[in-house]
Amino acid sequence: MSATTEPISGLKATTSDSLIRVDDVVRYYPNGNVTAVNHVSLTINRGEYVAIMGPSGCGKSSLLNLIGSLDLPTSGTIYFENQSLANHPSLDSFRATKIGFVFQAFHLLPTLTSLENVQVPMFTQSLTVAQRVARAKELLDLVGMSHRMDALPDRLSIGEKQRVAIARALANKPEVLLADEPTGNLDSVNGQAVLELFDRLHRVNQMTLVIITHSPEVAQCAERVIHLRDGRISHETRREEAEAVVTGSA
Amino acid sequence: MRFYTLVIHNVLRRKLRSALTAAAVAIAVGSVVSLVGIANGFKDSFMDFYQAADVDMVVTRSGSQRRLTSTLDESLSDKIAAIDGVREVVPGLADVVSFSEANLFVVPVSGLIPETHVFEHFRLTDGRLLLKSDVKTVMLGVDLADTLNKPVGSILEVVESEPFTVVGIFESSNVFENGSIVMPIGDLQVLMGREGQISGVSISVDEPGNEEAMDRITQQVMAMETGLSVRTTREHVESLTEIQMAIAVAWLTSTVAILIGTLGTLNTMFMSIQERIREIGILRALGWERRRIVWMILGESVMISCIGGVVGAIAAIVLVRLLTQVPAVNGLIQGRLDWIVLAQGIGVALLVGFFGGLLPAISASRLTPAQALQN
Repeated sequence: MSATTEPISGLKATTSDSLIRVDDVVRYYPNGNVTAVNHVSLTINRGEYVAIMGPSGCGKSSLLNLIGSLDLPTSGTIYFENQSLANHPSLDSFRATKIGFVFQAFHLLPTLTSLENVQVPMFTQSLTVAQRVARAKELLDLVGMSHRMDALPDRLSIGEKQRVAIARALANKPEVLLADEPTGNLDSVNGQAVLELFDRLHRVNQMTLVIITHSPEVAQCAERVIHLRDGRISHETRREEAEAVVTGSA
Repeated sequence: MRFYTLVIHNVLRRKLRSALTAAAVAIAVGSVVSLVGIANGFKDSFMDFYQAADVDMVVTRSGSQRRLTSTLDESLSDKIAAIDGVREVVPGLADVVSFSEANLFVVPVSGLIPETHVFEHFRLTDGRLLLKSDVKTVMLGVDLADTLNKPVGSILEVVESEPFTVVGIFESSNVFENGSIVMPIGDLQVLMGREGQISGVSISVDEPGNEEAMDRITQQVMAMETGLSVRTTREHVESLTEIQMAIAVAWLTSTVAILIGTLGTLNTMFMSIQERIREIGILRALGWERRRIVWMILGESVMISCIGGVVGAIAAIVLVRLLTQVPAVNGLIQGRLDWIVLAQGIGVALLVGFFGGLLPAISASRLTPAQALQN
């Protein structure tokens, strides 16, 4: 990967103020009669690195989907830069420009090369082909994948797939990166490489990161950990406390 | 990467399925191009016949679009000839015979007055034209002579035990005529038991471009007796039941093929989308608008259809050429696959692709990203 001290091109450093505010949000799924997110309120500041932890089925992914506008709350309001998403003129445009998604299963388009996959989100922007290609190459270089830009996903290792997926998430220079179990399918070496990249995005570019994880080791990379249980926030810990949990469990 | 790169990749992902769908569309387009082309060729062939014979107006029995069922008294032609502005009048009698041993069951026979100007459009390939002095003689169209293997001088039993001598082989711009028999009108009246009857009267006028004169002649003919139909050549050809039926059957058959092609495309696109719901969810998560998803899927279906359209159009051209060589059709079909017919075929392909892909595209675009990702 590239040197870890230089800011990543196009991802501007920002000040620390409220970026995302979740206000008493409920997400109820009538089909399964399940309340996945139950009166959750939280604030994520600009440039903050937040992990959301909790057991399976506690509502972590549902909450992330709501923050990223992939889903709409049954009640309550989510604000982004103090604007309610419920009143946003185009959530598609919001996702395209403000949010970068990283999924546990990578979800690369199987018929496209790494270079082409990274360009997919850029179709929502007014860019020339040359600009798209140049930007995609830059991002692949950032994640250490420039030597695999012409490879199809089925020719990539799982670690490589996730790095391409991260490059794709950064394609439109988002304000916040939302990652759902980004290391869940990776071995420890590749997992560590992804966490180092996240750390760089946070530390050097002061990017806002929200990651979902089961792993205390992954969570300890974040500044703040929000613990969910049964769709509710049970408690929050700071990085120091998370480290103490890891030390205690070792 | 351009947007269409993604579309092409998606089409090529399931090559066999895309190829089979394109084949269904090709059948639909091939049907339209070949059948409509043949029907149009049939109509043009009739127009050529009348134009070559310098016919400006046609009189038939009103309500009898088919020449075979139109019956007029032959004295009518003399009355029409006396009208001011009428240059020449040619009565004609039409009927059909069959030659079952040659698998020819609908061979047209035209009875005409020999040594009139309508014979001028026949290009003799062998022998001579009919003469007024001839007794039991016929001329054969080049395709019919070839199929029956009847050269000049041979004897042809037009109906059983009624031998006629072949005196000429001719070629006409009307493919219909190339598969027909021409004999003196008097002989045909006797042969068919229709003495004193004619099917219609072809009129050549002094001033074909003078609408006022044409209207006046029309009114005078109509006044001669009730139940007459007087039409310009084009109106007459377009009103012929044979032409209308040929065009109607062509479009009816094509419509069935188009429906099958559309259903095939619809099925393929729904299957394709079912396989790719999660991918569509990813695209939505990455900020793709609904309309971009719709365009992508429509692009795929239209691309498959266009490939099918081109293949179908080429296949139709080959098919029609082959069909025109088959002896059984006796030169009765002449596909005129002009650019309009080919454009209709490609238009059908575009419509099949559009309507075959529209419902799946809308269906896919309606999925919320979260729904699609959970699939």
